[in-house]
Amino acid sequence: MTMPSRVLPAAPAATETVRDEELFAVGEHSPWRAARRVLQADRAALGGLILLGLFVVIAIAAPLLAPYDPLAIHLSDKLQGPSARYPLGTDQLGRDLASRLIYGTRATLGSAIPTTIGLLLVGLAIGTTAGYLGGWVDRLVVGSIDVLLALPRLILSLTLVGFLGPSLQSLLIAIIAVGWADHARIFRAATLAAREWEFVLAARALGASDLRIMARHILPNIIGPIVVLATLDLGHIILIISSLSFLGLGIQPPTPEWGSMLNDARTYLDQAPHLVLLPGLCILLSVLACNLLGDGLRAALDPRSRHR
Amino acid sequence: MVRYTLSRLLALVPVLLGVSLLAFLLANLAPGDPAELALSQGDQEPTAAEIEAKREELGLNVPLGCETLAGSVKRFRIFSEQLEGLCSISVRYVRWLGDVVRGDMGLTYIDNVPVWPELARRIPATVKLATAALLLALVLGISIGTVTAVYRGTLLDEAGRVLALLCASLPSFAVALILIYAFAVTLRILPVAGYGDGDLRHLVLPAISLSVFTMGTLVRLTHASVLEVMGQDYIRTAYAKGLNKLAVVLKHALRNALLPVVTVAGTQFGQLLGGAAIVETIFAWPGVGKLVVDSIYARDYPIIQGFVLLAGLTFVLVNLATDLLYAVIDPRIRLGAGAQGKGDDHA
Repeated sequence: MTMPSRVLPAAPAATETVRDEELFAVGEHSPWRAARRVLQADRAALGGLILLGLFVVIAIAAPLLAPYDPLAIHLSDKLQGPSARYPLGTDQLGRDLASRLIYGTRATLGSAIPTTIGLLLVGLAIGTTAGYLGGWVDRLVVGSIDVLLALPRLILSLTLVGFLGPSLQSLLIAIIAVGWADHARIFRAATLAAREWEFVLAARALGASDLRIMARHILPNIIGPIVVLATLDLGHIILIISSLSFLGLGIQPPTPEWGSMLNDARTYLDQAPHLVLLPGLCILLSVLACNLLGDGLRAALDPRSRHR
Repeated sequence: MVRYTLSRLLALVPVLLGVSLLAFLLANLAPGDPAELALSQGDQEPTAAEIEAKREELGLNVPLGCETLAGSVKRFRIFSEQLEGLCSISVRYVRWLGDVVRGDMGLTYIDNVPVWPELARRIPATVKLATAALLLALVLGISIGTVTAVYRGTLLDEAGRVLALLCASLPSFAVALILIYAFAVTLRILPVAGYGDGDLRHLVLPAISLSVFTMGTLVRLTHASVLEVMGQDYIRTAYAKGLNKLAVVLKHALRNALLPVVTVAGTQFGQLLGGAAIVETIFAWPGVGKLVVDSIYARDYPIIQGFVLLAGLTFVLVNLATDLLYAVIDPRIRLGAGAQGKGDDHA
């Protein structure tokens, strides 16, 4: 049922990046069926999906779920523990922690999901164009990829935000401007491999245009791996957004965001540890959900692990 | 081997040039006039004459040759301005690069002191932290990864899997704060922050916080790699000739399984430098990472620029060292058989 279509030479090392490319090298006929299969068999992946779904629902329904305005200050009630009035206690300004965590979900996912999609689209556009056109375009893209991959991702995002000035907008630009290289590399390799697929050759022989071949023949066959990448990416991006917000370089206060909430709570660690633990738990669970789901889907699409 | 080393060294040149171009462009395309930024750190507004003098000092003005060049194509009108800009920025890049190669990265905006010594004196603290974290991650990652692979399917394996997942899902700053709460605030057995004049107790919490993510990666990688090797024929042969499990794992499996781990450990060192920015900020660790975060707040572009160069250079050199180490361990690479596979995965 799989295509004997590997054109990439076998790399000596089983590094993670090589695995990503191998995902694409095999034309999985029905990624959705594979996804359903893995969700039925793999409890952890199903758990990840449910958890992620839960966070999305919380983000969308934030105004209905939050008991208080997340920005409302009640100075007389500051740094309280959980109580009937404030289910998870209050922060240093007496703001309701539960409401802030709920709106924090919205801030984090509301920026992480569009960034993930933007990152994929930019990577897909650059990678497939380079792989398909070849020539000097390809050389320029590969050169830029090499430079970007020669620098640690977090550091580059950090410095870009430094030059653009700290704001949510700079953060998103920085993540996409830095992250596209990784994706473009993978999609470029996938396009190179896909060009040799027999049904693509057949479509070309029948006179299909480049655009049609890319949209109708290649894209549907690599959609599964794209979903895997996007899921794992979402986790990474949540980590980057919360890290930079923690440093005060991302989502700006007073907007509640898990990372910046942790930063605020740092000073009150000895009096109110729950202010640190609960936002930390939210980050952990959301990233964990992405990793569980992504790993499960990856395993389902990876021909090597399927035989295990 | 000499040939291989030389070819790897040559391949670095375009990458480093690209990194330097990136560092240069970032600072020059960033919003705000560098001359004005450099002068307006005090309380009073700089005068126009001061800014003009600073522009001259920083070499920001359009070089004479560029004006002439642009003037000579005046009749094409639309392009002359762009051409002048392009020419000007190219000339400035070449001048700047010349200075950088000679070790002159300019002056910081805030204190008006040379950038390079500012960075250099903070390097040892960061290297100490990153090395400690990498060692910790290597030792724990490899041993946990190997044990969970050997005892596959047991409770131990499950525990290792959960641990690796947690490590990959927890940001270093959350780990740091939890550790501070547990060991510094509640138990009071380790210091909350600071460098402590090289007292190793100050290194413990920062190093653990920084190593967690890398450790998770190495656990997963070692686990997968050992599993793959354990399925090979020569492992069955080793068992067949009567060796016990310990000898098979240590002498036959690990030797081969650790090859990919070496490569990834190299790239992880770069990631550690990024993580160091966060961990150093939390623990007030006087390293390069804290300096750059402080400079970002202060918009001190020359330091950020110097840091990009330094990070790029370090990352590239560490990768080179990894490649060479890899070639020493795996003869297929230096003899050329593996060269195509290795080259293609990032080409």
